[in-house]
Amino acid sequence: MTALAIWATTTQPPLSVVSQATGQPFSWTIFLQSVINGISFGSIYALLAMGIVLIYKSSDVVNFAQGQMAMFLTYIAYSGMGLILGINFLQPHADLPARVGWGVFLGAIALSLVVAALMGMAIEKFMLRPLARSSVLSQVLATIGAGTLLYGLVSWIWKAEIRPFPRFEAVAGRPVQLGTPPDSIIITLEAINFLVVGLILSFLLYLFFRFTMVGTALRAMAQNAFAARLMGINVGRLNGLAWALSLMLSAIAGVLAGPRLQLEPNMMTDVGVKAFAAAVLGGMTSLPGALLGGLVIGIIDNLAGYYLGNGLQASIAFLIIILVLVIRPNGLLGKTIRKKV
Amino acid sequence: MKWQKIQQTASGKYTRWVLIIAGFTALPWIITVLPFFGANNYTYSQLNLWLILAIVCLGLNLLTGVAGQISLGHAALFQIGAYIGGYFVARQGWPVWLVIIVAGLGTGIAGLILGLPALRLSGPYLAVATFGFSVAIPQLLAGSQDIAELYSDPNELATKIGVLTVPKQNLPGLKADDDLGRYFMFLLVFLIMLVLALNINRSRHGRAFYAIRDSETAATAMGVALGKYKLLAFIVSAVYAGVAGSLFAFQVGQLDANSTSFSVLASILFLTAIIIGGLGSVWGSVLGSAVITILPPFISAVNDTIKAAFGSSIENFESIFYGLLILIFIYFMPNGLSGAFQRLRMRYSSDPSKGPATPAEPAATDLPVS
Amino acid sequence: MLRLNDVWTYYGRISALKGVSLEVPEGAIVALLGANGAGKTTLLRTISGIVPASRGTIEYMGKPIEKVPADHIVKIGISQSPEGRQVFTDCTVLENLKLGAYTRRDKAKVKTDLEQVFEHFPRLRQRSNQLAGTLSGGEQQMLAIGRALMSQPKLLLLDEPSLGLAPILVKEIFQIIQEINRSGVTVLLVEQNAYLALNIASYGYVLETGKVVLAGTGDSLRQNEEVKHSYLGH
Ligand SMILES: Nc1ncnc2c1ncn2[C@@H]1O[C@H](COP(=O)(O)OP(=O)(O)O)[C@@H](O)[C@H]1O
Ligand SMILES: [Mg+2]
Repeated sequence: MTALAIWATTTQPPLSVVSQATGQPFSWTIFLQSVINGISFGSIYALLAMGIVLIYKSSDVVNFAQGQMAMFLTYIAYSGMGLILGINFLQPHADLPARVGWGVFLGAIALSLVVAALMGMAIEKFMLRPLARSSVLSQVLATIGAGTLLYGLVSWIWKAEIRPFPRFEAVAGRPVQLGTPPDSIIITLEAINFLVVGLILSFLLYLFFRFTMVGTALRAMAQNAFAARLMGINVGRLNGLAWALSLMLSAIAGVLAGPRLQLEPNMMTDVGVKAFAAAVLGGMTSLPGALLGGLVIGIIDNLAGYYLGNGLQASIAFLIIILVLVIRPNGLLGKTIRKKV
Repeated sequence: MKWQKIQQTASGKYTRWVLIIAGFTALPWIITVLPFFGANNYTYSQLNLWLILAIVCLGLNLLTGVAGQISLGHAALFQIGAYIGGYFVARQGWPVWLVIIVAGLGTGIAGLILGLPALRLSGPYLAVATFGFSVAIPQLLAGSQDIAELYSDPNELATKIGVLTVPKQNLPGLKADDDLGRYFMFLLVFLIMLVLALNINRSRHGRAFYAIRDSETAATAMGVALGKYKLLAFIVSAVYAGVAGSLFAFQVGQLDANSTSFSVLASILFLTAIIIGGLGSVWGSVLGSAVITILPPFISAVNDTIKAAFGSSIENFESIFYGLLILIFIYFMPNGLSGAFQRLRMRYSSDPSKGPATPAEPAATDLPVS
Repeated sequence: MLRLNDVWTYYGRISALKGVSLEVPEGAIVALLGANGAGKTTLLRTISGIVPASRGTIEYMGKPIEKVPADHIVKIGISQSPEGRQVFTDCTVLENLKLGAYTRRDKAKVKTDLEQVFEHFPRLRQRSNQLAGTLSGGEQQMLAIGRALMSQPKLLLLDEPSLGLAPILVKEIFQIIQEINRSGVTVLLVEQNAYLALNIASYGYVLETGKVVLAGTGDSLRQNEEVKHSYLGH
């Protein structure tokens, strides 16, 4: 039934659409609620996607392990909370509180950011620079290998059990309710936080690339690495910086999404896949594209999840992406990709 | 003169194949010298899984190693083959050999669909498209009621959606549980696919595939019809995955759409196998899949030792192992095991005392690994 | 100021420079001539540290620099306007020029140098907020030279600044090169257009398949029969 329904819905006016998952008649409230949920979680996809784009633009490497790295950094943040609170976070049933305040939250983020930066620079220098002249396949597999290794290491160090991730007190309050109960839309503060942080970080990135010398140099390097070297730009160091920034975005995404996803080695697998799709959808070379791609994927994801049921959610997202790619091979906002020679 | 030479090489080839077939035939007994592999059904089932994996890798290596197209979607093709094979045996009762062919061809069509985006996409875009295929197919098979109803048993109410129970298949007259007998059934299929792969590699088409990998622009300039060959590479490699998938259905007897055997992880495992074996090398595919098949009991043995020493074993320990394995091969043996063997052979086959060393003739099976 | 001694440079196993020795005296314009594929561009890349020399020494102001990485070469005062301009097409003209000063920390002086570049190339001032990719070929060449000047070089390497430009523009650019030289910048000028180059150069070298085959003052080379025949089109 379901498979046919996908095609049937396109020929019927939207108001008669019936959710396959719930059997409820179409309601604008639910539709809007899905879109809002999609936009908010789409920000998480967008943060990872922008990270993927940063790396790809600077060094032509596609990081298939962005999700795994974000997962690792979320564990680091979790451990940071444990450290600050003096709780043994390695303990299988570490009793971290359900909510943490500003101090613990920011401390944990700071730790995760520092680790992200160091890790990014190290990965660039020791893992990818030696492969600069290797095939795309070797580079892709190297990132996959690193992701697999991280997954194993995290399962080893923290054990593979699911743990709750503490909520940030400031956004754990009562959700905002729009409209009167049967027809109301509910927006949690956390969801608002996702979007706000996502947008602020995007804006900061924009400022960085537009108005700082290092940001301009990064853009220049992405356009023409040879000429960049002639300008005295240390290409290796800047690639390291791009990796660092990329992983820092992922660290923040991890901390934001931690309470929703819960801590476990697989927490970011699905997010990583969607982020990757978002990056490609946006054009792989465009940061605004990645932001847009993330939000679009978030929306599609939620609508498909509601109307088609969880089973087909990811398939629809990918179907749309493949269609978009075949029609616009460079994504929504991308420029022609440079072929690796 | 000329005739003699031809005769010589022909008979050399003949002897080689006799040796190869003898070796494969004796393998179930030879393998028992390895630790963890006794003369029991577990050992034989591992051998069968190896042949299945090797067939997938033969095809994937044609696509990725030879034609240079990344595919993260092969687990989905494998799954399609398994479900086609399972369906026609379990629901339609078709003869096994016919089913294997049908599974191969049906999956070939799926490969054509998977390859269509490849006409317009490359590099990361192709990776994400094939990746999406890998995510979507298990979901369709598990989550779509229509498709699930097609193959699940209408009489068995208790079956889980997406699960297909397949009567295990074997050579005529042998019991369904006889994994040693099944080894010879699979071996026959494997050898056919192996010979095919060797021939494709040496054919005009094979050279066209190399041209695509080495430089797409150069390939176009050389008059290789790029699109046609890319699609062809996808189709051929899908046929391999489909044949292997049907054998998998006959081996395990129960297919679960959500099992990791069909997940993206499996796609990564296939790629790992060809990296270990050697990109572009036919025998490398066979070797690489052997390594992947042999490892698990060793890995769990290491983990058991850790458990004995530290009191608890490591969850997802194999991830550490595979992650390291991939990295080690990429950095230290980028040409895989077959590349390493070839280098050894080069070193010992040229005798410096006999004048200028004749360049070792590239083994017909070991392709130039760049 | 710059002295190369028996420099060998390889691309993989192919040697592009086979023992080049030459000298660029301080304050001079030195021309480097040679047919396509002679190794001129490779020589400049080797000096800039982009393609390392596998053998031989490069001395700059008395110090060996053949092992110095590319980003440091710019800091010690050698900058290059590469063959084919290689401007950052998706950056504005102003951004391109600022990138030329990437290694510098003296903000105030950068500003006055920017003014200086705009004085040499008034057209760049008009187009300063335009994307470099939208400029004409001549303007891009000016931008490439201007960008190289922004690092405050003592030695300027110019790779075929006349390539693909209309004769009037070429004349203009060569005048500016002389102006730049008069302001105290030593110039190593790579050209296929030997006539123009020897006109403004005090000294010249002719490169052929990676070797120096002729050297002499600008005048003597202009009189040389071989040069006349091969490079001056007589
Ligand atoms: N990136 C490269 N890789 C391999 N060979 C190169 C490369 N660049 C130049 N060459 C070769 O080196 C030689 C010198 O080239 P080049 O320095 O560009 O000469 P010129 O600038 O005098 O025209 C040529 O034979 C050319 O084919
Ligand atoms: Mg040149």
